[in-house]
Amino acid sequence: MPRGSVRTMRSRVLRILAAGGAALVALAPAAWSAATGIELTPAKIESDLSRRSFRTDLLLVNHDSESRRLALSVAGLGHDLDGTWQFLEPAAETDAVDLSTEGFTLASLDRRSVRLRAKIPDGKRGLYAAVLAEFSNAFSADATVVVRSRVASLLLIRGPKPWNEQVKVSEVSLRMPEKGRRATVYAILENTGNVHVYPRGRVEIRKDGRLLATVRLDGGKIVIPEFARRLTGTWTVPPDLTGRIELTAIIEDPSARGTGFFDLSGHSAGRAAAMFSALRASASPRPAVVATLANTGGVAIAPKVVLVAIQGRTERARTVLPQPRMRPGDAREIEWRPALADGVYRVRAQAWLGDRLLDTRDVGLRVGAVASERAPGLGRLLLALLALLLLGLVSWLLAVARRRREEKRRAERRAPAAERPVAARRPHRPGIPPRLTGRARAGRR
Amino acid sequence: MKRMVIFAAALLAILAVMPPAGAADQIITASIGSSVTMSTNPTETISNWSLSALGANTTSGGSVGVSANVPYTLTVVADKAKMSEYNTGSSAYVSGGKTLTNALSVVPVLSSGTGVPVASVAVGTSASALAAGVGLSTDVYDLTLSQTTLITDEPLASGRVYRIVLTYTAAAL
Repeated sequence: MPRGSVRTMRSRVLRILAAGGAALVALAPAAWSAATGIELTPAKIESDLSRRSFRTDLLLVNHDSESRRLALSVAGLGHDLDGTWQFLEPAAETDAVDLSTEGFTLASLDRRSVRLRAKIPDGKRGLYAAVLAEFSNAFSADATVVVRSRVASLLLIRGPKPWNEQVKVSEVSLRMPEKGRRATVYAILENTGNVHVYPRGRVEIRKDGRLLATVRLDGGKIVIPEFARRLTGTWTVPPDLTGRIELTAIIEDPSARGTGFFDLSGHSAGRAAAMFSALRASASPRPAVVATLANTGGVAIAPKVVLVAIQGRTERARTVLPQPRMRPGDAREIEWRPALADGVYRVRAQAWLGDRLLDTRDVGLRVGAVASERAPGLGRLLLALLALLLLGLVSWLLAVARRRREEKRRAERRAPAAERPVAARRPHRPGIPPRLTGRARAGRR
Repeated sequence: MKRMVIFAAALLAILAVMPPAGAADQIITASIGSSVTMSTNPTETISNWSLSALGANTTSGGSVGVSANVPYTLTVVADKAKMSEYNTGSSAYVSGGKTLTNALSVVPVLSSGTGVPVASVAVGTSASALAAGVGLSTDVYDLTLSQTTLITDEPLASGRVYRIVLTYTAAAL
């Protein structure tokens, strides 16, 4: 092939390749860089400890093109019936976790380690908390919607054994859909033990003693102590089945059992639903809890709201507030003013329809000053006292030593020259006359 | 002489602890921990959202991206159950001030990745699930804010706005 045509062909190929490459770039979707935002690692620390305290490091990385101001905090960790994490602030766990810093500015593409020290609270066998790294864009004073963002590192820590792994079946029932016969079978499990568990199980459905179906529940979901979780499964109700059925939940890891009943004849009751759209607790001027309950189902309900203030595992205050009839879509604000002593509480709100738990939510409440605000800290006072004692002891020892030296010196002066110990005389160097001491000097005069 | 002996002993001690040339390979171990990354950019703070007196109002809430190497969940929580009267001069909510009748809703739509968003979330002061993902990917959700107003929702005086603070949290499942 002539040289000119090879050159022409080569340049043509190159042009085609270049055009293709440009087309590929142009057609590529506007890409969100995989490395964008604030990274927190590890995202979850789940461990069984041989001791009651531990320490570890968290790593924060800024993948953004601009620096970010990060604020770190610690919250108690819980969840709702569906497993959505609830970050409880304030909480007793806040005092159990100590971070080496509460905030810093992280430059673009920079990374920083934060030391975490934690101990399992007294009287508990586990620690359930979250470290939250919060950051936000700047906003103006007249902003209508302000957005904050957080990444969390979860602490799921079990301390030394023995543990008490226990769950209670609070409710077993069925929820029929608006249309059709594909029902949701569920069991609500309350963790009554002292460490988290991952229960699994099944529900056996019977009518008049005859086994109709066995529905496997979606197990392997975490349930934290003092919280409840709903495990679900699905069952297609036979079209000709009516009347009352019995549902038995058989749970494993740990073992538990519970029974409930459902009347298929009045299955519209299965569409009853409610949830707390808001739950707030404040301590000033007096402890107050405000819960907003909304009827999210398709039928009118007259639920009962139970509000409990819990400290550790002890209920300190409780109230049961029956509600008047609520139509679908209605929302009602419920207020409670418990008499609570200073301390950190978890306030729990539950909505019940008969023996059926519709929703449960938790919120943290701190009444009174933080322990470390009330006094400079008992620990610090003790350290200060100890330091003073040590100082006093050292001073006394020095004084004693000084007194002994003086006595010794006086004794040496009193003793005749010949009996003075050799060490009392200055060492003599050959060729240099010894210096005359006190008496010798006096004698010379 | 004494100094020479001390020096020699120190040198021998240093040589004893130094690894000889051609020693065993250096062992480096590393691990990747579980990680969640969240981006606020371009999730926006909304200013001057003009709400109509009656009906549905929607505006873009920007987007949020989550990169994780473990299954994760994205939740949203608000500081108020509903948008509430806020004094821009004192930078504080008005005590006993006006609130809108309906709650603000966040509507997430997956724009890239494999995450699964919910259809819509009426925000409240308890965290609600917005989306979940199996991890090992970067999931981006475009957010739309929807606020339904009623004719009974009152307009505010100058220097006052209806405000709400939304906090998005990404956490491992």
